[in-house]
Amino acid sequence: MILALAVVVGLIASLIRYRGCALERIAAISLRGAWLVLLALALQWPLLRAPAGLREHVVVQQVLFLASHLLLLAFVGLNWRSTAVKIVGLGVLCNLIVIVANGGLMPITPETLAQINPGSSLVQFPVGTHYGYSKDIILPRQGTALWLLSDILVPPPPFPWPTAFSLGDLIIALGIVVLLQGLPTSLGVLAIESEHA
Amino acid sequence: MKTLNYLWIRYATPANRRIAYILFILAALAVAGGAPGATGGVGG
Repeated sequence: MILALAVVVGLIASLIRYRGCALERIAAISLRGAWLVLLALALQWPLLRAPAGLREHVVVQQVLFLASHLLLLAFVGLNWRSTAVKIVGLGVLCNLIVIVANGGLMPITPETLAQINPGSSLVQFPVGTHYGYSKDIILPRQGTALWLLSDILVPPPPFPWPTAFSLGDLIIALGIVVLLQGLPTSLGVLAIESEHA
Repeated sequence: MKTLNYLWIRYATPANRRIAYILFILAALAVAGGAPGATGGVGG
């Protein structure tokens, strides 16, 4: 959920950059197949509601989670003409690659979890288990394929919410901020017209 | 109820509804595409 902050950041950046025209530019953004995103989120919901536990307990949720990425990639494909959506697509792909390489969930190390859960200890994060209410699986660094693409980035204080990001997450956030800079109005109108054509 | 009606007519213009829709879709895209690890998932 924390990544939704990218929308707030993008909106603020747009308002600062374009002032009066910002909302007009955002309104002109054309997104095809937006329902694919909502459906993808719905497919991920069971995994996001699953408490911590053995990986075997979330097999169905994991399959739905992987299937949701196909919908996200289809959304990216439908909106391929937008550079910002291409950036988002790159982020989704980075996350998907590391997720698939590690058996279907995003890896995170016990050390990172101890870092973002102040006062906790490593024994609270048993290796090989699903980290509850998330898309993550707890894996040691040496047991993580493509470790660099996993959830390894922890924002330093004063960032108010202890969170670990992946490189893919950052790229997605960047893409959304770029997307919210919108289109020049004339281009946007053309985009909307072609969408309805 | 009257106030609510007034606010709806005043602010829920087609352009504003479209902006809200785009922001909602982008927030959903961020949540669905990303996979950050956050606090609160500590196991037993």
